[in-house]
Order: sequence, then C-alpha cells, then structure tokens
Amino acid sequence: MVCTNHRRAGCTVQIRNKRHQTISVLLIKAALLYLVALASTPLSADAEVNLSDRCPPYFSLSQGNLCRLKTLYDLYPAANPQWGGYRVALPSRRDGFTPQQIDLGRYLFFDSILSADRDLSCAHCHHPEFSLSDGRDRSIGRHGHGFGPARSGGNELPRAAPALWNMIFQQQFFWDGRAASLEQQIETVLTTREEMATSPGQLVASINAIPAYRSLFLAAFATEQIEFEQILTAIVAFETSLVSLNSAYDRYIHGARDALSEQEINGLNIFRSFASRCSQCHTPPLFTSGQIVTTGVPAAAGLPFDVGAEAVTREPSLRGAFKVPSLRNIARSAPFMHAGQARTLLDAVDFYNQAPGHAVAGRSDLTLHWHMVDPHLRTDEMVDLVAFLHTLTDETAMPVIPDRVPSGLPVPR
Amino acid sequence: MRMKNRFVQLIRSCYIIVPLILGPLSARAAEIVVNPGERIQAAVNRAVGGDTVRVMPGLYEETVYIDKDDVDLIGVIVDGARPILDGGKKDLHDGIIASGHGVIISGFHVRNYRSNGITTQGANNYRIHNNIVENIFLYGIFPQFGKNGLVAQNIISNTSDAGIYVGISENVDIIANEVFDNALGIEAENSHRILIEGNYAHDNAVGIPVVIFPGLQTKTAADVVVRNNMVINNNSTRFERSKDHTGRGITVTAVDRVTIVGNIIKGNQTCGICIASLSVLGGAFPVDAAIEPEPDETRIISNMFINNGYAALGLEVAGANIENGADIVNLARGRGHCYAGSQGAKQLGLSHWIECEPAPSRDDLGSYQLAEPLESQALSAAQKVQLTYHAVCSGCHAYDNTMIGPPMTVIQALYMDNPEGLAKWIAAPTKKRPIEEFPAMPPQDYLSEQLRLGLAHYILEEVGADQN
Repeated sequence: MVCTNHRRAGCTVQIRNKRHQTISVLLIKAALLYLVALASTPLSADAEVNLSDRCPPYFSLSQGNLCRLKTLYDLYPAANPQWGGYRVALPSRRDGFTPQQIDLGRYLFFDSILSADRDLSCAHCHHPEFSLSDGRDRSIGRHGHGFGPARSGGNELPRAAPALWNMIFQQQFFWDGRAASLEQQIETVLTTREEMATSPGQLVASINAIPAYRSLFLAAFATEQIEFEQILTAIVAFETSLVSLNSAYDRYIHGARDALSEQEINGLNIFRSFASRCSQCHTPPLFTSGQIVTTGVPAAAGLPFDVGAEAVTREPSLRGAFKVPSLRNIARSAPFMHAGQARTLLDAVDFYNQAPGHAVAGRSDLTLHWHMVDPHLRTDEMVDLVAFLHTLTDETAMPVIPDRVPSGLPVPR
Repeated sequence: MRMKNRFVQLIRSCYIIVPLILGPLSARAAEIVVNPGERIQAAVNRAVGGDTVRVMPGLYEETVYIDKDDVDLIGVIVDGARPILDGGKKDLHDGIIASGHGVIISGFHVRNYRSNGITTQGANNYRIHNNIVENIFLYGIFPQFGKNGLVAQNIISNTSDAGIYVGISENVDIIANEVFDNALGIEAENSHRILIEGNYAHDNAVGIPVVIFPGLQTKTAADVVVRNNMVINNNSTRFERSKDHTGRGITVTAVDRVTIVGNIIKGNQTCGICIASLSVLGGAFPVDAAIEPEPDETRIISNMFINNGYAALGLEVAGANIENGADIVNLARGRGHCYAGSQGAKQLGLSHWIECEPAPSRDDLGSYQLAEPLESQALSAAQKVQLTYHAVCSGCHAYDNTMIGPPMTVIQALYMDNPEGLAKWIAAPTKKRPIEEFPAMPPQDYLSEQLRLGLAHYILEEVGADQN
C-alpha cells in the first residue's frame, strides 16, 4: 500500500493513527488480495504450462538428465581457477540441475506468488528488458507498482538490483557479500519485510494450493508435497542458467582478431594496464575477482553513507566495501555502482580516473583498496575504455518471459 | 547410420593426424621479420601458433599485445643494437602485453612506458629473457595470473615500483637478472613455488620483497626460494612510495616456507633480511580475514652478511622506532622458523628460532618450472566438436524450435549433402533472411577449419531428437 495520493482515505488514516493504520492496511490488503484472486485464476494441474525437457542455451544434457554448462573456456589450461586471465579455464561452476528444475525455476522467477502481497516477482527487479536488473538507482521492494525503471511507490531499498549474469560461478551474494549461497540470497529476499515479505511456511502453503505447481513440482522433483527447499532449488537452477560468455570480447580472445575494432582493442589494453588497474578487480573472464572492496563511492544523493560489508563482517577496514560487480553486459545495466551513483559508463570510468577517495573527501575512516590509484587517463582513453566495455555484451541466454505463470497472476512484461 | 560411421571415421582420422585446436593451425612455423618503420603489432596479428616474429634493431613506438598462444617475439640484436620499444612520445601504457600461453619475449630494450614494460596476464609457459627495461612508471617485467614461467637475464632499472613483479603466480623461476634503481627490485606477491636465484639486486629501496597482500583472489603464498643472489646497498630514497621504508635487502611478509640460502647480503641500511607479519602493512590495507597473518617456517641458511642494519629507517619494534637494525630482523611470530649457525649475522628477534636442517641443494631443487608445459584438458576431436556445438551454436539455435537463429532442422535441410558448404558459411555468414526475422550471425572464423568441418558434420548428422 503506497500513499502516492494522500487524499485517499487509507493514507490519511495511516498518517494519523498507527493502530488504525494497521487495521486499514489489513483491510485494504485483504480487499486487494480478493481482487487479485478474482482477476487471476490459478492454473489447473492440466493447464498449458509444461516444463521443457531440454537444457537452456550453452548447457548440454548429460547423464542422469542433468544440464552441464559448456564453454570454449573449457578448452584452455586450468592453472589456478581463482586467478582469472584471458585464455584460461573458468572456476568451478554450480551446474547439474535438470531441464525441468531449470524451467520450473523460470516460472517461479516470473511469478508474484513468491511475495506476501502477490504483486512482486523476482523479475520485477531482475527483468530481461533491463538485462536482469531494473535500470533503477535503487530497487523498489514491497508495495511498489510496475517493474524496471518505471516501478514506483513502495519501499525503496538502499541498493541497486545486481544483474544476474553468471551467478553459476559466484561464491558470495548481495552487494555486501552477506549470503554464502544463492539459496541463502533468495531466502533473504523472500523473507525480508521490505521486499517479498513472505515466510517459508506461507510460501509453501501458497504454492501447494496451486494445482499446476503441484503437477510441475511432481515433474521436476518427483514430489507430491512441495517443500521450501525445492522452491529454492528450482530458482537456483534457473538463475544459474543465465550465462554470458559469448560476447564480441570472447570471440576476440578465442582468436577472432576482427571481433574488436582498433578502438575497442585500445580500450582493452587500457583496461588491463596497471595504470588503470581495471582488470585487477574486474578480472576476466568473469570480469570480477569476487572480492569485497572499498572504492570510495560516495553516498547516494540524499541518503546516508552505506557502510556495506562492515555491517556484515564488523570489520572497520571494510567500511564502505562492496562486492566487485561483474562487467559482463555492463553496457545494458545502467545506472552503476551499488546505489546508482554513476549514470553512465563514462561517469563510472571518470570516478576511477580521479584521485582515490575524491568523492568521499574528508573521510579518514575508509580503507580504500590499494588498487585504487590515480590512472591519469586522457579523455580519449576513457572513451576507448567505454567502447571496450560495450564489447562485453552477450544476452543470447536471456530467458523467455512466460506467457502465463501457474498462479495466474500477471507476469511483468 | 552409414553417414554416422563416416563421421566417426573422419573424426578419428583427425584425432590421429591433426589435433584440433582453437584458431588456425599453421602447417609450418613461419618467421615474420619486422623492420624499423613497420609495426610490430601488424606482424603479431599475422602470426599464428608456432610462428616467430623477429624485430630488427630500430625504434618502435607502440604497445605490442599477444593474445594468441605459442608466438615468439624476438628482438634481433645486431652488433649490440637492439630493437627499442619506446612509449614516451605517444604516452603509451605498456610495452608488451601477452595473454597467450607459451610466448617467448626476448632481445628488446623497452623504455618510457606509463604502466609496465613487459607484462603477461593469465599466460602460462612463458619465457621472458635477455631484455633491457628502464624508466617505467610501475613494473618493469610483470608476469601475473600465470603458471610455469621463466624471467631470466634481464636488466631492469628506474621503475617507480618493482623491477620484476611476479604476482598471483605459480612455478616461476626468476634467474640471473640485474635490478637496480627501482623502488623494489624483485617482488613475489601472493604466489607459490617461486625460485629467485642468482640475481643482482642493488640500489633499490627494497631488494627482494616476498609478500602477501590482502584483498586479492589468493589468500596464501608459500614456497619461495631466494638463493645465491647478491642483494646489495638497497637504500634508495628516490621514489616517493618507498622512501620511508628503504634500506631493506630481503623482506618476508606473512609468506610461508621462504628459504633464503646462499645469498650475499650487504650494505642494506635497515636490515639484510626483515621478517614481518601482515600487520606491518599497517592501516593502509583492509583486514582480510581469509589470510593467516604470520609467516611460518622461514629458513635462513648459509648467507653472507656484511654491514646491514646500520641506520634503520621506518623500523618499529613494539610500536617504537628503533635506530639500528640488524642483518636479520624478525618482527613476526609464526612457527617453525630456523636459522643455520655460522652465518655470523647480527640478529634481532630470532631468539626462539631453531637450528635449520640442511637447505635443499640445486640437485634437490633446480627449478620450479614444470617439467612439461601446462596443457589443456585432453579432449578427443569428437568431444571438442560437441563442446563447441553447445558452447557456441546452442546459444542461438535449438534443434527444432526457433530461438535467436533458425532451428537446426532448417539448417539440416539446407545443407543436407554439403557439410563443406556449411563449414564455410559458419566462418563467414551471409544474411539469408531479413534482419527483422533473425539478427546477423557473427563470423565464427576463429574456430579452426577442421573444427568447423567437424561442427558441420555434427550439425548435419548428429544433432537430432536426442540433442538439446
């Protein structure tokens, strides 16, 4: 419930009286749920939703009906998979889900049944149209309307929604790295009051009440009774299928000299030079080192400074530290930084081209990463660098938005 | 079935006769000569695996990058004249960058670059030798993210950071180099199995630092042998970043199992050898909980110490600056450190160290390089074809439904009896349908001819109902 219009009765009460607010919100919520229930009819068990028996792009079906990721990086020597490099093998990956689990995860991902108010799906903030992010400075959780940049009202969260590419290789999740697994990350979003605000029990009850889901979980997990862990597994199966490893950059590094222009190659050479040090943290092939780093990004306008990983680790030297985001598909997911502090890629590059700590001047309590230096790039070099960043775009594995989801709730599109 | 057998035969014959690799395979290794006035990069672009690019003496003002495997880049030295790579006038970042494996970089004089002189990132099996590198803003020679390398017989001076910097690497020998007038001489950082032998490190601020830094991909560093080097008069104050910590010969910071043996360590004003925990880095670095901060099992054996620690700079013991250092200063805890007697070293903080077992001889440890180059996972030709199909083709094509590109059933119908035609088309696709219907397919010419032919057979003969 959002007070975009204070002439509405509910909003007036909300402001005046906390107790009445609770009652009024509950009443309105009940009414809304009833309306949603009327408008959306859960699909029956034999409705048209079927699970794919084929693996997603870049996965092959292997023994035991399991999908395994295949990438040309598998053809390179594996020195130490943690390091990164160019013609190198990738680190260990979390594959091995069935095609049915992955496809079931896709339906769940787009289904607002996951939220307590039945109006918020994963896709509202991780939408294909915005490269699996939402194009917003900071995402809007509960009580919002719409999806992507147009989403309005509701709880504005303190940080931006990260794009979900190549989660299959990641070891920690959220901007502050507070989740050690995708399951933990998903459960946190499902149960956080400001986001989906549900509980495992409530979610299991909602999903079990939908005949089509019972039939789909039967197909994917051979289970009559849907369990919370299976819901998480299916979403993880889907999210780990979203890979991006076939950009123009990748073709270049595999040997297609003409896949990049002279300007883009010049940008690559600046990217990997030690004056700029971009590749030290945004290390190829994943374009992230996976580390938690303080770069001195300032507070977003009008908001307090975000202490990032310090709140998780209680380590003062990690004040303002955030996980290094991957640059894969970065040209498709503006704005940038953890709370939209950079509008364009050139803004982001310019931030790193200025003296370390320039945007948080006066703060002596931040331990900037030692790779933060003053690269002294010329404007033409920054432009070339941005041109290179555009070569990291590959959305061929973008998932298909389902026409309908088993709950019958509206699909964000 | 008959077709399938033919395919299997073809693949088998390829497997035996011609190994399939990514990228074109040269029938015979070529030599490409570059003369002054020509671009070295143009020659590197033409080179394929196994080729040698020979660069004649003269001035070359460019950044040379090698993003392919097994290319040798050789500077031809004629009557003492070398090819000079100079980045000064064009304000260039790096002299030579290599990401390809198995490269050799030799014979160059590299000077006046804003970042590094010669750098490898993610390259294995490299050899960098017989180069002169000077006046570089950061590192002279900087191999990083690589395994199995050799950096030998180079002369590196006047870099404002490390002359040679081996970062996040394994199995690298750094042998017989001269490093002087740098901030740091030879630095091994977050690395394993590094042999630093027979080098002359003099007049830097720090001669040979062996260190682990926090906030990087690797959280351990161990097994570094510093042997038979001359580490002399490392007291330089010319570079801002190191002038407060100058006067150190060899430093060990939180790295385990560092063996320092047979060196001449002379005239380093703060310490000949300094051993420290990670806390020595101070508040400038974030705490990395994944790193164990104390060095363990340092071994100091059979070195010659002369006049080290005569005027300590930036040396703190228990929070207080001390005036005089020593030949060996231990500021760390850690366990299992040892010192072999009769080196005559003036010592500070070694009272709890134990007597060393004999150091490994050169017969025990001649090299940390691998006996054989690090290779890719061994896959048969058929496996490579199958992998490539899923890694590349399946991104846009499914068997019988339309994705980004048309279904394979349509392609099978089009090229039924023409795998060669399909292989050719894969390398240089032309539009067959309106752009509104399907986007243009990127050329896949980086896949070798044999691999493309294998793929064409696979698509026409294998991809079917049992495939994705």
